[in-house]
Amino acid sequence: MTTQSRNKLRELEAKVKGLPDQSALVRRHQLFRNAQTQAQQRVAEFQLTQKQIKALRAIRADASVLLDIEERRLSSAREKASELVSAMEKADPDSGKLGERLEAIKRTGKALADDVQSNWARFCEEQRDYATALRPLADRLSPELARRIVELTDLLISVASNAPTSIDVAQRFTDARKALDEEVASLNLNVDAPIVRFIQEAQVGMGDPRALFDAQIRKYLDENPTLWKSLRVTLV
Amino acid sequence: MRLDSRPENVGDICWQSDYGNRMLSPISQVGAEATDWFLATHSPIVCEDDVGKVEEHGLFAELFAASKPETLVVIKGAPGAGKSQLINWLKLRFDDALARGDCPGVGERSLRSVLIRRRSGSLKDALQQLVDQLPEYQRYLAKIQAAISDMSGDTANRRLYTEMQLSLYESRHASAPRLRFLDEVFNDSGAVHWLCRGGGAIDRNIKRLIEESDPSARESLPPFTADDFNFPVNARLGFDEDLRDRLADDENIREQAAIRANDHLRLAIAGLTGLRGHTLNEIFQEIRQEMRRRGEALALFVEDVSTLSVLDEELVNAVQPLNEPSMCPLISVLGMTLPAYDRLPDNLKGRIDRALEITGSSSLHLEDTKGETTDRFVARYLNGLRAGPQQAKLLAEDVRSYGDQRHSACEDCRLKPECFHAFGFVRFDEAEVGLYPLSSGASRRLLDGLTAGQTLKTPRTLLQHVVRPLLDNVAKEFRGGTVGIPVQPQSPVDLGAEQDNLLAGWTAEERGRISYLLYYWTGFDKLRDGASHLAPMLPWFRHSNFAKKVAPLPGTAPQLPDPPVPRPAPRVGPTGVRDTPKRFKELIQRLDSWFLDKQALKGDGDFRALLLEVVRNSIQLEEVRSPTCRVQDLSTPLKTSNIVIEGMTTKAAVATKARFTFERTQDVYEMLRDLIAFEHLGNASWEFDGGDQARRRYGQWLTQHVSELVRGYEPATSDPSDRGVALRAGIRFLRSAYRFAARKDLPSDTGAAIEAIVSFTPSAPFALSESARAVALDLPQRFKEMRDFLLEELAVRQGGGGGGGGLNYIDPRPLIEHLSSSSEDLSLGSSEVSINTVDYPAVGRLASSRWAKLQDVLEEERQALSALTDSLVPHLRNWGLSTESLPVSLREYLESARGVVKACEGANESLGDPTLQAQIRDLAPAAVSRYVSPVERALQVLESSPQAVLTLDIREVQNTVDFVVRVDRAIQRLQQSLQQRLSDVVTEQDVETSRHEAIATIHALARVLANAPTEAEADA
Repeated sequence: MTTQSRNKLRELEAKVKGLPDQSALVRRHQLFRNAQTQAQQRVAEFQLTQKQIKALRAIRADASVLLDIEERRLSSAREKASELVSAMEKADPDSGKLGERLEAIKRTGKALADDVQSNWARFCEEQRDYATALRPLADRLSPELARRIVELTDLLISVASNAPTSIDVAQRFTDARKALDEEVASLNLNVDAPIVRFIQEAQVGMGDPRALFDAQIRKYLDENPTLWKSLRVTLV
Repeated sequence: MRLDSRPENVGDICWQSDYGNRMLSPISQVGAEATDWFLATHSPIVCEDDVGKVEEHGLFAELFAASKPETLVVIKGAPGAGKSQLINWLKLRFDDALARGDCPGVGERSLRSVLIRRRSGSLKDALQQLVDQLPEYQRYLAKIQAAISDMSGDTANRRLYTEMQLSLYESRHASAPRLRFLDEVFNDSGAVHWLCRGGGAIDRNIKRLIEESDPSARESLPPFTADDFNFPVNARLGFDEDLRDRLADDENIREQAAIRANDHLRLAIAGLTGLRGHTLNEIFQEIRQEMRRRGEALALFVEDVSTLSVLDEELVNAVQPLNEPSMCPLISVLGMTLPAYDRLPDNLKGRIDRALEITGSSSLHLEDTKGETTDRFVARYLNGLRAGPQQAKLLAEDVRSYGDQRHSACEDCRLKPECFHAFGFVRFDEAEVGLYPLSSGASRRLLDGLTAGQTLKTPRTLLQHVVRPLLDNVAKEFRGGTVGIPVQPQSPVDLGAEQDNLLAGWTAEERGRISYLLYYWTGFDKLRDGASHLAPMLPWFRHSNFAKKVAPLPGTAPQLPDPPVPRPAPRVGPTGVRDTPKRFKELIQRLDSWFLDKQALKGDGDFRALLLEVVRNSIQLEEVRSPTCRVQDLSTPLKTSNIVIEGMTTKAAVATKARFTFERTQDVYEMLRDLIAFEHLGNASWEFDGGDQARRRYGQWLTQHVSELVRGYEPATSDPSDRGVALRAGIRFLRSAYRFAARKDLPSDTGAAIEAIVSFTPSAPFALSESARAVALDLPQRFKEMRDFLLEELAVRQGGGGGGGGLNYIDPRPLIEHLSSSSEDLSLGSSEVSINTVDYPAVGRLASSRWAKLQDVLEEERQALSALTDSLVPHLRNWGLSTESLPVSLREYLESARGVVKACEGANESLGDPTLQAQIRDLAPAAVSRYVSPVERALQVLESSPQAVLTLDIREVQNTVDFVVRVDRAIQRLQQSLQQRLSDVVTEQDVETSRHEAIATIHALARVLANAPTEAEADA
């Protein structure tokens, strides 16, 4: 029946009807098209940020990471989106108001993304510090430990600029850290223990000879005789 | 015989005024109704040829006995001389002789006589008469029929100036250089607009062909004049510039142009009729060949050839002797005015067998200075008027039997002695007919005294300018100082001396009238001499008497009436009373021989004449429904040839319509004996010995045999079932034709259906296919023809005797029967091929027309209708509309078109056709239905039987298709003109779409912000 066909006369009628205020129609048409484009961009951005937050929480194994700030930022954006819909449903929407709300949403999204990025950067810095601290020790004590540190360091380098969005990446992080931690544990190394500190200082020629009076330190060194060759102490 | 209007006192008129005015018309009273009057008042006419006088009886005998293949006689004379009187008399004598069984010179052939009367004097009327009187030769007369139908209106004007142009063009080489291109004038739209104006030569000539004209006007054609070529200044003329300037500047050139145009006018008019050259000749030859095959011969009488206008020469040419054995014998008698005869080429004149001239004196004998012949001429008319219409037949019978009147209306008038004494009288045999209100010799003197303008002393002049006005004025008692006749007053020479003596006490008007009455009524120019003769007349004119008693003067009395003349022997029929015994015996002897001795009936004409009177006068036909009036009319006038007696010596005529057969039985024998006695012993009465018994026998015979006599009116060739077949065909045709023309069924109520048929004015319906169009064009004329046939066939006349009764109602039974049959059956009946085309020519023509195959016609029309509705499909599909249901799509199409137009108007755009634009704008649902409904009905018709096409108004379907085509073209033009602007236009719908899409996206954003899954995620 006709309903299945396209009535070209009706199309012609619509086109002719549009002739008189073409500029107004074009302006409104463009306004909505722009709004749609921007909204699509915001959707993508927020979705990306939300993935990053999710990944961050997984990496950190902490569900509360950025929880408050995320809720605050999204609430603000939701409010603006609601206002935006109301404004667009008007017969002749005010392009200025539409622009304000779109910009506000954009800014909120950017702020949330920045929050995520800052959090991620801080995390990466902590991990690098940890790895760096263990690296010299690892080179003398355990090639396996060194390899674990290199794996973690390479992973940090690859994702350091942007917080990861993929759970896979998060999983790889978790796995790499877990492997490192297990290696450290196998070496009875505790990053905060006196022996670890002494070794770290002695690597750069700043070892305090008094530490050698510590029985635990002497015992550790006795158990690892190759370690001595790389230590230098300074007598002040 | 008695007076129709009996006077009580002296001065009362003794005739009916209106009857006088009616019967003394300018043209001879002829035709079926006036035949009696014509014969009753006919005065013998004498013609002349190169050798001497020719009596009318001699001329008739010569023509009737003519045995040559062709005989052509021309009777020429001035208007009013009596040509048509003589020609009509000849025609009636032919009919009379044939009716009495006389054998013409053409032998055993059936002689058909055709008379073309002058009547209106137009060519159209003359040709129509020829067509009407030879109905069975219609196919040969088709060209004449076509000429008649094309002879009026703008078409005729156009054809005449086109013929003028052709004729002038062909003679360019023979024209003076200055007018060489005159033909272009007749081919120039601006010029012919002026030439065809009312009152112009072209207009007047066309009117001459179709309208009434007087004889003198017919002598020449309305000529072109200089005015015809003096074109208005604002006329848009496109012909030769040089000629244009000359015509505008020079009156002399315009006159020469008119002369040149007039030279070609006759030829052009002949061309206009389409009968120029040998066409009329060929038509006559074809008819004569067919008549020969049918065993007929033709006697053609033409009152006045000038009524044939420019075809006069063609007619003479067509009837000239050819001596061609393949054609039937032809006797032609043509009346011609002197100019028309003089115009004939010498070679044509040479082929005329006899050219007779008739002058005014031929019938009035103007050399008879006493006026006796004129008195007798007038007396026949006066007697006819006094006798009135009821007794005209009696006078006519006198003339038929004895050659002149034998009865007088004055016979029983109680004022007869005074009247005859005052005015005188004339004798016809023993009948004395008074001359009042004329007197002996008065008519001749009044005819001579007519003033200028009435110079022709002809019978018509006498009747029209003397008798008719006199009768009228006498009836009004001479108001004014004259007698109401345009004659020169003749004052008495002794008026001065005698008026005080004789006219004392007279009014001024009466004194004035003495200048007319004395001389014209008495022949005296002195009161002293004529007063005694005028004195007895004065009371009849309601005039004062002379103041002094006057006495008749010896030797100066008015003319005495004619002495008794010997009673002329009857030409045919029974002899007079004095011969009765001998004649009676002789007839009885022959009758006895026929019945008792079983011999052939010799001289059967005598007995057939008696039986003819029985048939004519003894049946009250108005009381019977069958035979129909049409058949009765076909059968009249009855003649002796319609009477057949078993054993008669004359061979029964084959071509007669009615046939009354009398067998050789005892009762017929006895009735004939009684009729012979009635005629010859009782002198047309039952007053003879044994008359009472004879009358009773006759009455009993009539009672027993009237049904047989009535059946005798049925055409002898007819099968009784023919009428039923003809009626069924006619009624079925009318029903189908009504449905086709009115595009609806007849009312279901039979009475209403009959009324619808009777009152319907058909016009040609619109049709698509070629065959349906032909049927549609044929419909109006054929509908009328068949309806007339049917009404005449079913007519039941009420009141009035003979064929003149009024038509009060029709016999509805056949209508009820055939209108009640199934309307799905469109055939004319089951026996179309056996319709008797001789007795029912109209039905015969119908049966051989396309109407007999109406089913095929409608099937073709249905196919054309299918193609018409299919033609809508491409238009609808072009706009993306599905055509699964044509009406639905059409409705959507029209509503959409309206939307486009309204959008256009909102955008200040136009379709370029304001009318169409308004029509589309007004396409509200009701208006749309008006276009869609015909298509819906058409589709329903296409789904049903072909008969359904009959009542479908196809014009409405065509209107819808035409409208759609126009709309389509207009919108396509609009689309093309806006193509550039419409290519990237953003519509409101586009805007709304983008709005919805944008909002949808924001809703998706909101879900993201709520950490809810998006639609895509949810779907996944």
